[in-house]
Amino acid sequence: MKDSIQNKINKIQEIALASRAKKSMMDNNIIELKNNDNLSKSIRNAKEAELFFSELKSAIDLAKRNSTKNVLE
Amino acid sequence: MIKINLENTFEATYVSSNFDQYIFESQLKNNKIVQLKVKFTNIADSLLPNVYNLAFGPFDSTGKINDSINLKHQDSNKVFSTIILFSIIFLKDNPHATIGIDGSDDIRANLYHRMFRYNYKDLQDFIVIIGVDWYVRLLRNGTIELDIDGLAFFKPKPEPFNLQRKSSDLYRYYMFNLNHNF
Repeated sequence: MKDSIQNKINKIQEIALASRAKKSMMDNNIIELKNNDNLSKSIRNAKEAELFFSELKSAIDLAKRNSTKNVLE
Repeated sequence: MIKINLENTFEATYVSSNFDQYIFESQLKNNKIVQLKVKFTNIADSLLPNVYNLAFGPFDSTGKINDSINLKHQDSNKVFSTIILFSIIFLKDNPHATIGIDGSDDIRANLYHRMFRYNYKDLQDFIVIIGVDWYVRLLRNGTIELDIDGLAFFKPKPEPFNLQRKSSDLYRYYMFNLNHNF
């Protein structure tokens, strides 16, 4: 399955090259998101952001270990 | 229930050169064809430089994404499989990025929760899914920490997505990034 997904990714990379001409059109549609989503609002300063990223990294590492364990089982 | 199959996705009609914007077409149940845009946006002026918000939906009258509309697709499985595939491609091009989905809208949160839960085994080869809960700190004097407006101050706490949590116990925020084994 991974090979077929990789083929799809390769094809989309080709479309990205072909789409370059449309770039100026898309630039007009860029949405500018302000920091008003719930996660941004709950982090007040760089120290809290650092703590959050540290916890996020731990959660990601644990999730990866769990996924490897599930594959082995 | 949304069933993700990364081998059955719509073709993109547009892909930006940095893989953060995609357009594809889906047929609705009323047979109308709608153009859908998928966009990954870094939150401006944020303390979260590597977190990108996932938005998708049709274009509104001003050309921006209308991500609050509820469309009835003929093949919702294919629509969401396409969005997940584009997310994987974006993450492959931005390996340090994490995609965030704000669960403040219960309908969307419920949809993503059930989608991740139902497809977890198939998706875990490609992405790592994280759920974020909000917690309030209990102070020594028995009160809780408040923000500048005097409201309870919530702190985000991420954890690996817990498959045992049902849709009656949604996370507040969902995140995923690339499983580098892929």
